Amino acid sequence: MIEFRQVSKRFGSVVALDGVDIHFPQGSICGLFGPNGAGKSTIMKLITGINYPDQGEVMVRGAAPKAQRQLVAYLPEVDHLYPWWKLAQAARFMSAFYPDWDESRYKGLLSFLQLDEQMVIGKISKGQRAKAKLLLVLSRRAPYLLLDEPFSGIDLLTREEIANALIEGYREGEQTMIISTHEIDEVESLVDRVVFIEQGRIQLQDDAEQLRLKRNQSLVEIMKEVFRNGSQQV
Amino acid sequence: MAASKFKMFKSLYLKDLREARVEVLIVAIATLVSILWIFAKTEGDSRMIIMVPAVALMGLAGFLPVITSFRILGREWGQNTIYLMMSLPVSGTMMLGSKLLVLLSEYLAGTLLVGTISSIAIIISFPDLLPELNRQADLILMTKILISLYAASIAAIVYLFSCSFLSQLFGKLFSRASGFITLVVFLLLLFGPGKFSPELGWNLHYQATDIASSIAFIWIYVGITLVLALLLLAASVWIWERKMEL
Repeated sequence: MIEFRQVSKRFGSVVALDGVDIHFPQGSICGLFGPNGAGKSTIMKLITGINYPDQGEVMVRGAAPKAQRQLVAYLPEVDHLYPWWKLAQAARFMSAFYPDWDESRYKGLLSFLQLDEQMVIGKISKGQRAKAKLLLVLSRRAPYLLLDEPFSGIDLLTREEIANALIEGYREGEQTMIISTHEIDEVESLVDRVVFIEQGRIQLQDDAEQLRLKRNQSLVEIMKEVFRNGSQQV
Repeated sequence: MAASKFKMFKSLYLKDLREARVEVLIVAIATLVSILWIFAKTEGDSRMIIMVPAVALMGLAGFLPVITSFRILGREWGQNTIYLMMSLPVSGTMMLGSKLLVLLSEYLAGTLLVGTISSIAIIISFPDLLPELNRQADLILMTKILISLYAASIAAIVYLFSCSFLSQLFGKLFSRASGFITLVVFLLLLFGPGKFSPELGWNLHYQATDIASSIAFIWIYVGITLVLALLLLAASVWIWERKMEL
């Protein structure tokens, strides 16, 4: 379980998060939705322990995020892999740090995503790089998967492949997956729980299915309404 | 089950070693080419000119790792790989320690290559030199002097690497004028200790009255420099673990 208690974070004069309370339950897929600059990436970085809250507390399985880094597989929005790495080198590197690295799963996903181990990361297309990043995250049996904008700047066909890989690689009940995106329609069918965030404040968080039933709307429609009407925290 | 710390360190070390390989290769090739060129163009005593490229390349072998120390850390931010580094389940000590070892490897490989190739060239050119030296001087004492001077150069380079790490990490704490702050801190750390403590560094050897005490003073210098380097490294690790954010 991941919990945010009254978390605030500023970057200079910009308020990234303002007294945020979030609860990501164990074993679910959570969608973190909001426009650009809403604070989604800051939430991801706080969970990974590469940012610290100015106020409040972030807990991953009851401990500070930095102490739990081995439990978290993080896919940042930026290209964070060495451009000179071959995919095989990147995989070997990751496997040295994480005992939950699953070689057979890696091989399976490699062929599922139509990637080649000899591909040099700096020389492949943006879509292939996105798939390579995802491959390295999903090849781990990590209890927490954090995917920050996995569809950003990716063409429609690759998005579909990535969404399929997410379903393929996800272990229901065992893993907690948090997907941050502003392209909600790509993951609408995947998420169990949603958190809508805007300008560093939580506008709404609830069970995805209950929300759909209660409002008789799709998540895309709910998001539009929430961000148009402002705060309606449940 | 926890991942092996040795395996983690080795992975970090081998990844960064790539940055240093080219420099070592450049130094080795430049040394070989310049010495072979002198061998081809000169004969007899004029081959003593080998000392000129040897000293120049020794300087280069010592200087290049300092450049690498800025690149090895700065590139993590430039290529966004800092996101990967900071999310790894390793301590700042391991992260910076692996980089320090890479830089030290580059320095040792470069200087030892230049030293060995040049020495072999001189021994081949002047076969009577070693027996003559042995007759006129105490070779054991000379070896002691050389070892202590080399140790002093290692201590100095480790101090330089520590200055480089601390200044860069300190600079990264500021979103504006980060490069300028890095430069100012680096220069302060580089020249500060000598400025504020005249007993430190090269001033020590003026107090020596004979060769044996000179060697002793060099080892004191090595000790003090390494302690200072360790303090700077500890400060760098503290910034990496407690203050660094993305």
